[in-house]
Amino acid sequence: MSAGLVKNARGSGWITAAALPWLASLLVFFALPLAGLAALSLTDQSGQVSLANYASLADLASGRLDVLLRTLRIGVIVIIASLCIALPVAYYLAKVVQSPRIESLILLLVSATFLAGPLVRTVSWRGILGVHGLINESLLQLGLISEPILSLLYGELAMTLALTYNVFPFLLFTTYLSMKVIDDRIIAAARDLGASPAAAFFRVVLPLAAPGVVTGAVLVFVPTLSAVLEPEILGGTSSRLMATAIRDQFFHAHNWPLGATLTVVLIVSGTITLMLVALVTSLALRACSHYGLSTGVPSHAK
Amino acid sequence: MLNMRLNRRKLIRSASMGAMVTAVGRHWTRGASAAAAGEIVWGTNEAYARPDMLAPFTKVSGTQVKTELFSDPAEVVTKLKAGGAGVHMLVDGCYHVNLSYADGVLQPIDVANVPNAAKVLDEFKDVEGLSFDGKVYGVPIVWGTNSMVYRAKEAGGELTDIGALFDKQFAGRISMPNGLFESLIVGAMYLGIKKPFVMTKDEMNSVVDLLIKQKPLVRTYWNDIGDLKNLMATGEVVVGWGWQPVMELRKQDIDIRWAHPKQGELAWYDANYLTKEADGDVKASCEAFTNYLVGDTYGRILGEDAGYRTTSKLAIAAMPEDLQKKLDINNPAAFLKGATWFLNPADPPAYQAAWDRVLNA
Repeated sequence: MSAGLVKNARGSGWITAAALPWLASLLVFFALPLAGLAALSLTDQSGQVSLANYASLADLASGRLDVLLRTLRIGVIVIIASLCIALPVAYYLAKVVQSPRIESLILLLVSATFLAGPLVRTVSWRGILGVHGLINESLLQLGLISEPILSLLYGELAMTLALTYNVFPFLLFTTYLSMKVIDDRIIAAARDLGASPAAAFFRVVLPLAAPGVVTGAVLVFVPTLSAVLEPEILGGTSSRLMATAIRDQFFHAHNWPLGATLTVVLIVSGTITLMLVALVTSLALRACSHYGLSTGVPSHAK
Repeated sequence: MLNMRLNRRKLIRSASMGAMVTAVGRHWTRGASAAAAGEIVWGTNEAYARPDMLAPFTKVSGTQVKTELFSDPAEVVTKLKAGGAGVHMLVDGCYHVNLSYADGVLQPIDVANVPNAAKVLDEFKDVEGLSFDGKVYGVPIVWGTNSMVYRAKEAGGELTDIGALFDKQFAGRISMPNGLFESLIVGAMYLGIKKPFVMTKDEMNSVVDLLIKQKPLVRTYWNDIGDLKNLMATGEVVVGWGWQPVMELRKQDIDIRWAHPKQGELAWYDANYLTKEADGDVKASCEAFTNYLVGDTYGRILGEDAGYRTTSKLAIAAMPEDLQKKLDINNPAAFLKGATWFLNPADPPAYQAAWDRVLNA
């Protein structure tokens, strides 16, 4: 065994020891509370073991299943909407903009919106989508409508717009970073070999940026599942999401076991959806690398 | 220096005692004369206990009133149940006090030590939640109603029927409350259900059906009163079920009207209760303080500072005319005639489940 390997082995021992406090805190602050939550979900309000809370989810009249499915659906829509915004912007910043100053300025502007806080960012949509909001007033002034469009605000549309606006920078930053580290010579080589800009993007850049894209998708999806502000402030009457239902069970109905059940169901179903999203995204990106989306021609046919 | 301070303190204490003696003829010091405790603790919300509201009592009685502020009386009740909360009095409302009584944290008040209680508005004589098992536990200090509010211009005239909240004429311009199961109660009032807080299963189902049918007409459910004020101010909503603070929009020249619907309004009061931790001298001081709360001073300051309505006839009589007008307090019957009192639902989980069905639909 060489001296270097011995040194590495000793180093890994130290690393393991250094990780112990972190692992312990993970156990105490994450694993144990989650186990407690799962145990609580298996009781009724009198503390007796019961599966009634889980059975109540199957009661279609309660509407809880609808709320769960709506939450997951909105989460996926927000990922797609965020991808549509973040991918071109990230590529532009990472590979098109030549000036580091402009690059930094744009990233700073996106970051600055975070300083306003989610409440202000969410409420501001009322000023855009409301009866006397920017869009309705503009359309009225232009004579394109005679009455304000009420459906712009208070519904899934407004809620999804606000959710996307509030979370898409997570996807933008991770995607930007993963695109930034791609060696420009690889893209240049693809272009030299005849790839169009679109083909180079879909067949080279996107597959190489996949880890950042998938990480960003996770970062976008998780806060969407736990959103309370957006559905309450902009969602209207039929856009309730799971986090609001959970909050109401804990703080209004004081039914902690049912609140715990809804939380466990959200965590499990959210994780499964996330895995599916990651799988589909990976497959899609892999497909991009095999079949140039810009040409539609399989690579082996060339 | 220390002696000087002590002398000054003695001087102030003597002056306070003197002031108390000279003021003994006033209504609200009758109870205070029995006070001997140096400090009492009042569980209340911030709006009812601003320093200038409490200072007159301390000035006369020499008793300091410390506060344990809460946003929900349940917070203090939880501490009282655990014991050693150090809270001697508690402001609780008709919408919650049954639970506090059931938790065994309250004790009866000796009304002989609260003579001003006889001067409380007649509408509060037989209201539920002030007496239990034939004994008086609470003295109401503040009241109000929740009702329909509307933007007069857009509504096209006076509204006197809760039916406006279910009228297609206002589709997309209606707002209903999201908390305290209040929308369920409003639905029940509209359907003429006699006891909205103890609805049968069939009655509850009919209310849920009504509210689900109403959903396409509702712009949004408001979560706090600031939310509704914003909706009414911006014109997003023309008619809604609201609380008194919405009327503050009139100061901004917005023509908001308060409806007195034929189905009645939803009335509430907050009363002062003694906790089981008040005994001996402390109990006497608490009763004196309760007497002060329904005397001629506290209710007037409360109206001026916070815009809340007092239950005390003495305080109303002591108010300048413009304040009486501002509070619209000269004719309580206009609000309370046919009112439904806001009680705690007999079965809160069933009410939550019903409201969940509406929200999830």
